[in-house]
Amino acid sequence: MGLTKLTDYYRPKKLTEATRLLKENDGFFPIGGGTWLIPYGGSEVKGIVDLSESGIKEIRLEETSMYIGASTTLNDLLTAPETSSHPYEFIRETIISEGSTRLINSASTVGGRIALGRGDSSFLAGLIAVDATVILFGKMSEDVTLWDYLNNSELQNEKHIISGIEISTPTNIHSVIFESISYIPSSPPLISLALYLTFSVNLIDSVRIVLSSIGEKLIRLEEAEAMLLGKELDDKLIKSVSGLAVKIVDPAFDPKGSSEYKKAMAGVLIERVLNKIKDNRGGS
Amino acid sequence: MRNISVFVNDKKIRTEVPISQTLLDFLRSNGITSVKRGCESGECGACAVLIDDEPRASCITLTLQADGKEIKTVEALSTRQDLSELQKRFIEVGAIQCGYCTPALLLLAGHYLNTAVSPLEKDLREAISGVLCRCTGYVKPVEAIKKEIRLD
Repeated sequence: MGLTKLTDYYRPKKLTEATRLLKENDGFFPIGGGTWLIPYGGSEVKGIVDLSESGIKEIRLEETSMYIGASTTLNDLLTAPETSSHPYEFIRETIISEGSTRLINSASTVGGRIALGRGDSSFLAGLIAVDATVILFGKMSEDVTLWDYLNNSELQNEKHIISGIEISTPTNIHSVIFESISYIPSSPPLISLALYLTFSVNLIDSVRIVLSSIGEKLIRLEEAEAMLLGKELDDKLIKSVSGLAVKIVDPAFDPKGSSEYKKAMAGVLIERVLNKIKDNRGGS
Repeated sequence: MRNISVFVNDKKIRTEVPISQTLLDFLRSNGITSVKRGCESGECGACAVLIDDEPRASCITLTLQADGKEIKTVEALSTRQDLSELQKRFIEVGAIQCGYCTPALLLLAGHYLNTAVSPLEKDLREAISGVLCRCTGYVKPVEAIKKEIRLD
């Protein structure tokens, strides 16, 4: 363990107290389960603020949304009835795909996963695809989408606490699809894709495509999304989008799968999920 | 240093611990040596314990995180006089080779059997998957657990 300078530990019962501790003390870090900070944190960690009892462990299904408290563990999500059926079963699917064991999933929290923002997190890719919102405690401005949060280092460095996420239940959802490629089903993906897509009559009216395990950060294929928007989903369009993905994806070095392989697989995954959607709709 | 109070295998321990001490070190220094030191990053599972009945890797858990909680290790499975039925099945089947991961396998298998409504081989494999065993390939441990619950 690298926490050689750790001299303080608090487990506050209230988020206001947790926020005060983090704001008043340099070198204090929040933890959910601590599965990353405890083994890999270094000498910069002087104090730990354990959020496990700060009242943000909750899964709440509301009429048009789902709220997940930041201290909710991945195991809580895997076993919650709220994630057992459409449209939220993708949450289970993406967590399982990450290949973490029960020992990790019973400690890893939603807030911790967001704070780490790893590029190989299928779970985060799924949440971005459905445009999840991050709720920041002690931040007066509006809540921010997960995608914007992960791409705003200034905001991430502020001393606020992620208290939860909110997912709007889409009313005209056609598809939230997750696909991945791994050596064996239980191993972490070499590459994965989360796609959200809705139609207005026959035209695509919203789409988000997120790739994980491509690099340090998750990749959103905004050019491909733009190509799909307002169009009818047919074989020609699917081929064009798949070709564009292969062209624009630039995977980092990974000993488990070459860059060329991952580029090719990005195209394969997109083609696969778009064909699945087309077939589900009975299109041409 | 901080004062803590924990229950370890139903025995209350009140003591003072260093802030950066892991639960693994705490347990081993208190004579609970079934909890093994392995990777120290939560990957191998040899240090598995139950905290308030949730499986956790004690090598990546601070002792202070367990303050006020109930910790169970494999020692809780047996009495001084007798081994548990699951432990006996492990011996009968020969589910132990080097033995380093055996306490963790027994603990997680026991937890699964206590909590599963209708045990399935797929689920029990998932339940013990956090423990890396490079000797048995899980064949004999799974056989022993299935034998215990008469799952064919």
